[in-house]
Amino acid sequence: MTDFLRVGFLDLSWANVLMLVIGLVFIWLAISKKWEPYELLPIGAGMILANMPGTGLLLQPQEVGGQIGSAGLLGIFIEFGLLRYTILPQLIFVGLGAMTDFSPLIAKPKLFLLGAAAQLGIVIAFLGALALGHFGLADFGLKEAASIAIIGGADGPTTIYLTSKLAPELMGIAAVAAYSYMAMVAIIQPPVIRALTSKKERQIYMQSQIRPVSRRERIMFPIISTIVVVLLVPQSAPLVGMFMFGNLLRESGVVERLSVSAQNSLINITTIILMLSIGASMPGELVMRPETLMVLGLGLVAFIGGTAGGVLMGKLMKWISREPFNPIIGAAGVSAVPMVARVVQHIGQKENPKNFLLMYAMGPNVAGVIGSAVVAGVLLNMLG
Amino acid sequence: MIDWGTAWQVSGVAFGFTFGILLFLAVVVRLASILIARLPGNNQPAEKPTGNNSTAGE
Repeated sequence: MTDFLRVGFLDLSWANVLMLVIGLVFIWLAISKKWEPYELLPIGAGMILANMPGTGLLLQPQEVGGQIGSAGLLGIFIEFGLLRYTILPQLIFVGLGAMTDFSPLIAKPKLFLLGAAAQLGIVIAFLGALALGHFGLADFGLKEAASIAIIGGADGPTTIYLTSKLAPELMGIAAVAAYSYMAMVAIIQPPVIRALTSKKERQIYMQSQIRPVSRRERIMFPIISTIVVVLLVPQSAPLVGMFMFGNLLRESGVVERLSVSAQNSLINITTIILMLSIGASMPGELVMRPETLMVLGLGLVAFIGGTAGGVLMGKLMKWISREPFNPIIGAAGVSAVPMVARVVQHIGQKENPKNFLLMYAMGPNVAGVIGSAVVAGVLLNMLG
Repeated sequence: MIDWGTAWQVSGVAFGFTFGILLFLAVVVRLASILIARLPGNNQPAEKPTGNNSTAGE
């Protein structure tokens, strides 16, 4: 009887208790506030399961020497899905591709530049993380700095993919930071947008229609993008290649069942496994370290920097564009599809009720996904 | 000890290369659109309106 109690309550550390509370907060945010519920709810559940001692759920096959029946479910997910083969983020990208409509970007390819400029946040956070090390506040090397910086890509699977390759010990906290800030874009971005644009700029009216895009263009886009990007950055193939493959399933129009499966069953099952694994990668001891707070702080800096980069590029494009161009759509270059585009739409319509910027904002929004996957590939190429 | 030379190099290459690739992709996509528009049998209207979402009438 005493042994039973010992396994359960008496082995519980204060760090575990803190993580149980954080896990509960995540579940509450998902249910009550509907903040990224598909991510935060399983992450919260994963945190709770991982921080109860003696369950064996986190035991990875390599830790038990491959002994049959000894590894735990979450440990198997983490080892095979993330640390050893990193297949989960790639499968998520197939589903995301199948759910993405690139038409706004195909109709206005110049919007690619906004998605590219929004990657500025990654660079700022990368240098910021190294500066903390320089001043002796943290011990982040180049790989850790890159893993933290990619949070600014505002793309969960990309963050998980790169971090699991470069600094697996930071994977849990980096992913949680990315998803948390993605849920908070409506709070983070508006002050940055307002600080960098005048009221007059935010009111600029853009005609509400973008030219129709033909089926041929929509089919060619994933093929061209894959060939161009992967030949230039082969390391980005696991992300960009899968993203574009999913999109080809959607746009080809001949594999409806595969497209529907990728958009629903595949992404849903993978999301459950991936998010549980991410939550389970947050042991209490990790969160009690000061570096964790620094990762969260740098992630926020990366989001702000990315937003600023996109808006500043928007201002440049407004200056050189022949037609009216509202610079706030640059903020949508920070991936986080489609929340960021909605934030831009909301601000634009608030400033000028005639404005309907959602379609324009979706362009840089999906360009940002490609951009962050390319940055991840480049960083992996240089530091992996 | 942080090697700031490498750090700046990584930053510059990561941002510059990504920017260059997306710029190049933008040009290629634009050229492909122009080419596709000139192909025979491409004068039928698009099957879906731009931005295939509920607000577009689907």
